[in-house]
Amino acid sequence: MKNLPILTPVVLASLATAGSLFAAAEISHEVEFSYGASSATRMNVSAVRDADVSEQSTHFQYVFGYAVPERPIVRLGIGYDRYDFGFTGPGLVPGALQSLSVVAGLDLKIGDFLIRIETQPGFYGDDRGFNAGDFNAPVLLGVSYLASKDLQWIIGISYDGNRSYPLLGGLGVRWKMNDRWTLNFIPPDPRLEYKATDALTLYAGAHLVTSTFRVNNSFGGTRRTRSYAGSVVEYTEVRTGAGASWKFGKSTLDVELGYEAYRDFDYHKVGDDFQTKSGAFYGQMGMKLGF
Amino acid sequence: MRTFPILPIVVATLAAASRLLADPAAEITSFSTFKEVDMKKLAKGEVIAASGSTMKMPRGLEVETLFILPLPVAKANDAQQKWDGTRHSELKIYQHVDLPRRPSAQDFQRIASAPHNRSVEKFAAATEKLNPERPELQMSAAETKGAGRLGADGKGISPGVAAFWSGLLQGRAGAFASGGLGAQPAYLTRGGPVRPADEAAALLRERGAIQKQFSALASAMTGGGGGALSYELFDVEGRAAVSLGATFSRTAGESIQSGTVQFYSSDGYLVMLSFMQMWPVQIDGKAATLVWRSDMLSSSQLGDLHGIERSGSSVAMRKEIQKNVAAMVKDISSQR
Repeated sequence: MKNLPILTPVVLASLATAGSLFAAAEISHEVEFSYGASSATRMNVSAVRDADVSEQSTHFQYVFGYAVPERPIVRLGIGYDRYDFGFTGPGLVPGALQSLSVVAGLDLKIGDFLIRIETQPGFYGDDRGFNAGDFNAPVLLGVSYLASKDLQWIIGISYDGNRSYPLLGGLGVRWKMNDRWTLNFIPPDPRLEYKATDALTLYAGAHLVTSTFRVNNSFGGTRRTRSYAGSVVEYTEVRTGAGASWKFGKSTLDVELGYEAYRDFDYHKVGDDFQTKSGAFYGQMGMKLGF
Repeated sequence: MRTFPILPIVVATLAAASRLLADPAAEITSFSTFKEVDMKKLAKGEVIAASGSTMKMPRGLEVETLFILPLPVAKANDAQQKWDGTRHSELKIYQHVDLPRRPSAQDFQRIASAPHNRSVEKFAAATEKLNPERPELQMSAAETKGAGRLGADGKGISPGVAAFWSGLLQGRAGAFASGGLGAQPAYLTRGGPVRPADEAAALLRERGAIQKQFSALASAMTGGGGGALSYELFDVEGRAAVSLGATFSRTAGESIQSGTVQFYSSDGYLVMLSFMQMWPVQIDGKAATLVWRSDMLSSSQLGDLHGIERSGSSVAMRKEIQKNVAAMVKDISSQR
């Protein structure tokens, strides 16, 4: 009771400040998920054997955005990715590669530059589940310069300590050529877009997937001097395709068909590398919901 | 010593000169986003632009600019009011027409002679196939009833489309002339009716310091009509739009204040308020005018953007306004 006259105004003022922060804050939610499948493609699955390997991929991500005026926008979320590979017989291609991670980042504006810093700490393992050794925290830095409302330059740098080249970078450009055509040449998903209607955009482009995972401690056994158990595999996939994107409200639905030109499992620390010998057709569907 | 009698004159002159420069700068920093006024950069012809602080109003955005016009204040005000943006194809302003105080439908007939380009054709097509329940173009529920089946032929603006827009614009201009911003019909939007007067009031609340600096002008702009009316046909993201505006000005001591309220637009923004204040300055011993300008708008499309997208749109708007102002400064400077 003796504290009340002093405490209450201070507490009320703090609550008011916190409340005003929340009242002034803009909160957003982004959910995206996609599913894709590709036909079987011939590839070496070990040093002595080839097989026809099919693939299914699943992606899910939820990000919560918290924006208070004049402060960096905080992004927090979770993500899950899974690549399933189907083939018969033994081999050194895992049955699946999967990751479960937190998405944590900041978006900020400095002058004409928009900057995103993001890390995805989590577990990057295989079809046997996750363990502590699967932990990794790749980092992404993207900087976008708005030369005008129709032209933006983008530079991105990613760091993954498990990759054969831990630092990778790329340049991109978004150029709205006219009211119909936009060149969205932004790795890892560069594309050329055609706005057929306000709701429908057609596009053609490519996808570059590169991520590292750790296979389980029983994987592969021992092949002479090489042990694959618990080793890092760098998975790379290159696809080209065409699709359509329907916009409804703040959400989009994408449908895409194309050709998976290249797939690679690189056990670079073991010194082995398994690649496709031919391509495969793929289909993919995805949704992005914003609210 | 002998210089003593001269010193007071020198000091007084320097003081007067520094006051001439310092007063506008001090005044600008007291109410605007700019915390300093770099006269050296401005004297070189640079247009300095800054985005206003993020508004709590989700549909609102503001950009401020500073620039110098190499003319005395009264001439600078006259020149910027008469400036013709249609001469610059990169700005995509297709028509700008000054209107009489009480315009008739005849005064909008120039719409029929709009250029034949894709942007205008898309505007005509959107008018022709307007869905009264969910209009693609911004207008009131009552105004949507007149659209559709107007004989658009895909070759610019048909007589039917021109007649529709002439009628709509005349109605809105007449409502403004007699009743001010408050008499403007509400737009029919996805989120329900939106009144331009409410949006303008919200913008001014977000920028209390500017509202206070321009209180008399802001009251005139949003209050009881008047002002110099005009309409424009311009491009918004690949499709033309028509807008109506009214410009007001008043003297404020040595400076001149002017303001424009764009109280109707068929696309791009719901309402736009532009404020300018002009102060006399000396550049290289010649009379010039320091201009501060604010453009604030309310836009449905902005309300759909969040986070970094919204930040990006403020950068994009700043660049567009800077481009517009730079074109005006260049034209006016070359006329000197």
